[in-house]
Amino acid sequence: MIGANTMLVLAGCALFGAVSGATGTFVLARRRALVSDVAGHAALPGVALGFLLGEVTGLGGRSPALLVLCATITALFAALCVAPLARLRRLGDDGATATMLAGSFGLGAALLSIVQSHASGAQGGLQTLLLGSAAAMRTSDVVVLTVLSLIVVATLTVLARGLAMVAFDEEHARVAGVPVRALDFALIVLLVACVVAGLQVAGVVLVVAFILTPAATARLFAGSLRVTALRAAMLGTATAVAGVLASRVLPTFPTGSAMTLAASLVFFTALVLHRKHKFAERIA
Amino acid sequence: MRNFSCGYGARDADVVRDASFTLESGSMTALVGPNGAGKSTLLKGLLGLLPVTPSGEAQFFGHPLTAMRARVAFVPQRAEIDWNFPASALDVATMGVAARLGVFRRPGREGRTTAMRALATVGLEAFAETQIGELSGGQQQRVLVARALAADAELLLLDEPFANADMAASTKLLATLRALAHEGRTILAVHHDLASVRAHFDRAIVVAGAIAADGQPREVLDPSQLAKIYGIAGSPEGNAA
Repeated sequence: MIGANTMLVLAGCALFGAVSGATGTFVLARRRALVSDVAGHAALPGVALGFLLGEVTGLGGRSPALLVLCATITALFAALCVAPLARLRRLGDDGATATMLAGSFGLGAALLSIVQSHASGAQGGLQTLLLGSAAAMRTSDVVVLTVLSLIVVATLTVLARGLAMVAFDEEHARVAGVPVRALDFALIVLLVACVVAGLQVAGVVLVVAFILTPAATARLFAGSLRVTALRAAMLGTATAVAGVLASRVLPTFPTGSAMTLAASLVFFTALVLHRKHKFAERIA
Repeated sequence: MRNFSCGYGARDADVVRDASFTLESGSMTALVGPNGAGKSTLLKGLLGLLPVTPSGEAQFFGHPLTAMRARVAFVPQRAEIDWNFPASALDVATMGVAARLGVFRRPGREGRTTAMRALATVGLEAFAETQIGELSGGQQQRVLVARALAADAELLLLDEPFANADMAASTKLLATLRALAHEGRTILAVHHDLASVRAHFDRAIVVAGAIAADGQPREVLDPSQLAKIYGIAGSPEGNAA
């Protein structure tokens, strides 16, 4: 039987799957895939900082608002640093991404060890943020997830046309007077919102799979960017639900990993089917 | 009629120095010159696409670009586009409509009609729903021209539109551009094939670090002139004959 708690987890994960899939489609189209990885890893020092700040100010180490706020700030900062860093001294996109990713994760690990030396920190369960703990989702988590999701979806709907133009041809967009920098900034903000929303669900390492894998799967099939985003949203929801149910059947299996594996499985299945289809078309 | 004049001030790192020219409306002008001479740089500089703001001024229809964006369209090199991008030919043409209306207004049915008409002008109406990745190279180039037409641009700046195009594709694109010039639109294209420039363009501007020659293609691109220009700036191109 599906209990109230499972329903809650299901609802939260399904919503998150849809929103991150749609956002990921635009991120992938703009070739910013690895920036989501940077944002994910850079959320870790934010969470640790939030915990320490909470302890110092007496708000308590697990104040959700404080944790979310600090994670947003560090993730946003790191994600925004990638582009200027890439231009600096011809480091390149991959070099800048790797540098930021490793640097922020290192800082996060160091801060986390300080947190763990606190008596309350050891019980804080911050470790679960590495790989997520969807099964431990509470009503307040689902509320935060819902609010963030609605904001992201509304923003995406308004900006979709501009984001598509910039992603397809930045120079044409600039000549046409499209606010490229503002749209790029908005996309990073949306991405960070997804990352922060997904911390509880998937953790800092696996959150990138929710943003990119459904989007990559959706890209295998023809259609406009809008259609691709809708498809990615549906795939995200389906894999999230499959993951939650799988981890119910096999309780030792963490929900975040189950969902990630489901998404990857769907991707590779679609890839094989796509190849077969293309091959059949060619010999027909 | 005066379209624009532009100049780059002298600066150590400038690729193109002190270039000035004015384009006639309804004409086809080719920017030619050896590789690395700064043809594309000049084009992008005019449009404010370079990281460093050029010195000197570029005017479009007597005004700076910021005031005239709706009348100007840039057609990039085909190789600079990711053709796996999820979009149909119609989607790309519709982006031209959005360039004119602004990205926050829905193009609507009227916009769709405009985009379809632009595709028809470049001979691609049958491919409107085709995914851009499945079009041929020549068709992809014409989709980019259609996007500029859907924006109803009066001045089209094309960066090597004939790069890697075969005879048939080049002929089709040339016919399209000529038809647009007849409508009164102004064409400025970076072009490598000097024989084609001589046969089809009204004017040739030779760029080699600065403007080396400017005028009727037949006069500017005669063999003795070419030897001088290409000889000074670098090796002559294979198709210069």
